[in-house]
Amino acid sequence: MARVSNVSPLGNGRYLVEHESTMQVAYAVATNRETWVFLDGRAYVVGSAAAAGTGASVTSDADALAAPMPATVVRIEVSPEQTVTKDSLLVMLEAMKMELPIRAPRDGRVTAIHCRVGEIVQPGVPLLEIS
Amino acid sequence: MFSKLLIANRGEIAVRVIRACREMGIESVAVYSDADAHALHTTLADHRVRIGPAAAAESYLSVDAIIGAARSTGAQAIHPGYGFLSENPDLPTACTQAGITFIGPSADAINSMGSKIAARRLAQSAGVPVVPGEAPADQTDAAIADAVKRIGFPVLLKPSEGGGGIGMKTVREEASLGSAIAQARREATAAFGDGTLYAERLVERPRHVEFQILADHHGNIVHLFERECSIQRRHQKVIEETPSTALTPALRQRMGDAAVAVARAARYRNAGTVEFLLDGSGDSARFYFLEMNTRLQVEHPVTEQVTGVDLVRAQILVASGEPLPWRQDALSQRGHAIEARVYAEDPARNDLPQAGPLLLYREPSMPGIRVDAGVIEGSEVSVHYDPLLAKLIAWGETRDAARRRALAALRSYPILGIRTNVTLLIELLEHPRFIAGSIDTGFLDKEGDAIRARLNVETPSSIEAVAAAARSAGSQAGRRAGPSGPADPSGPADTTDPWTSLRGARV
Repeated sequence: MARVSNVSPLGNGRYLVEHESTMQVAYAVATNRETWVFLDGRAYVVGSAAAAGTGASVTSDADALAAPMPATVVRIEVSPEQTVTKDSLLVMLEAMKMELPIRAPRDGRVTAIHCRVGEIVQPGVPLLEIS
Repeated sequence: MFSKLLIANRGEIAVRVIRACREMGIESVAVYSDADAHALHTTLADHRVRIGPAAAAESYLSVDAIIGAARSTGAQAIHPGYGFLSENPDLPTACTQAGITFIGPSADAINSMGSKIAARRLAQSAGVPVVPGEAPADQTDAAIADAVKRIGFPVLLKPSEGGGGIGMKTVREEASLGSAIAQARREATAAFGDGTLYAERLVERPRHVEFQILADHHGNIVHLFERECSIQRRHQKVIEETPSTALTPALRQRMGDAAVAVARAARYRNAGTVEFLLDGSGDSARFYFLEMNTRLQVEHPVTEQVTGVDLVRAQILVASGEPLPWRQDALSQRGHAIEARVYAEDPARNDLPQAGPLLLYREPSMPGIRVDAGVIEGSEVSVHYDPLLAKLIAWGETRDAARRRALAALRSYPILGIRTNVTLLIELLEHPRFIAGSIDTGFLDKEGDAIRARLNVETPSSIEAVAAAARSAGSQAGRRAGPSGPADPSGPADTTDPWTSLRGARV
């Protein structure tokens, strides 16, 4: 990638990106949390943890397991204090006609359940906790 | 002709039908759930009727709500779009009782094709070959397992009432059979309210090639050639094209004849699609009847681009009693068309559906490009429905010209605020196997990981610089945007329109 020599706003979310001998038009929108940029068929999210979007699966390593997206809780397969093994199904979510299984990231014990069947859960909000 | 038509759907297909109504001078009635009060389709029609809460089962899937909306607005016809109630015979039945025209086939035809078992028998009776499979009358786990063993692994389990790849499970060995049956049944029940499963031998490395047909109420049936839909993930189509690189003129004729034979056997009316599995390519290829979709397909625009036929308009005219204005030999394919489905999902995270606001959304406008979208800038993509945002259709004189146009357009199609599969589509269209046309339905499963690995790149310094400029410009940039309306896909009005010029030339 050539070194950027200049970025100038064109208005209406468009930005001219001038390199040494070529130029491109990028599109960008900044929100309070992050900045979205589109250039040449690729969208980037700058300034948010989600920007590091690697091939993370639905399973999270955090102690509190959260929905990856807004979804409906279809089934809760565990109860408080239950011991669970790695990859066992904890909660089944459904969104956009697809089942999204939330599985145990490791062996452990369920310490709290924060969701109900039928509830629409938001991303980032813990569904349950495992010690 | 109808003077008022209700569209029992949402998203891009509702928009597509509303536009057809406007061209034809028909008043349109949109229906909407609480989640769609400000959706594009809701605001584009001449009238709108709230039909219930966000949950599809209580709104877009409610026959009573749809019929009630048609009655209260005086709509004379209902176009079901695809998905939702489009293949539910209860809707045409209720339409008949209410004296409303259903734009589609009869409830009987939907019934005979909606059940995969009945559809197979019908195809066989028409002399069209089918893939080995069965839906056991006894639907217990044990009986289904027995059926699977009779058919032989690998096996595909699918909802008998279903479509669109929902709930389909591939089973390769006995060990995973039990859990696959349970999961397929759950998803079938959740999606279609019926857990009946169908088990079928999986043809390895097949192509999915389907034929568009149109039948009028005067005994005329034509096909509008094939669509190649082999680029799928989890049986959900991603890229479609026509013509198929696997077909020769002789094979095309055989398959087209078979498609028409199936439609004739079903006493089919209106637009439908006969799906085949294609084993091999060229004159020696074998094909099997898979199913018939008794509705307009998502991918209908590629057919429109190469045949010059407006399928939605044809549906409305046929439903109003008009005869088809062309015979088979008047139809031909010109050039090549490719459709790329733009989904609100994150290919880097297991195709996870995405919901949120479209902070910035600009459709490309360039020669040979058509965008059928259900959203505009500022639209809110909700968690409640299918993640399809838009379809980008490229036409070119050759396959490579169409492919290059699709690529150029996708590279200038900024969608910001939620993640989409645009970059994945670009990677697919640039893949050596796609360029060579050597694809089968397993393509994305096999190559998907390697393709996805290329999606994660370091953020280049130019992006950081643009982001900094955008932040300093404030967060208003996207909100000031004037939405660029999608290009009108229809061709110019002309006085040699076969629908009008052949009227009275009825045979």
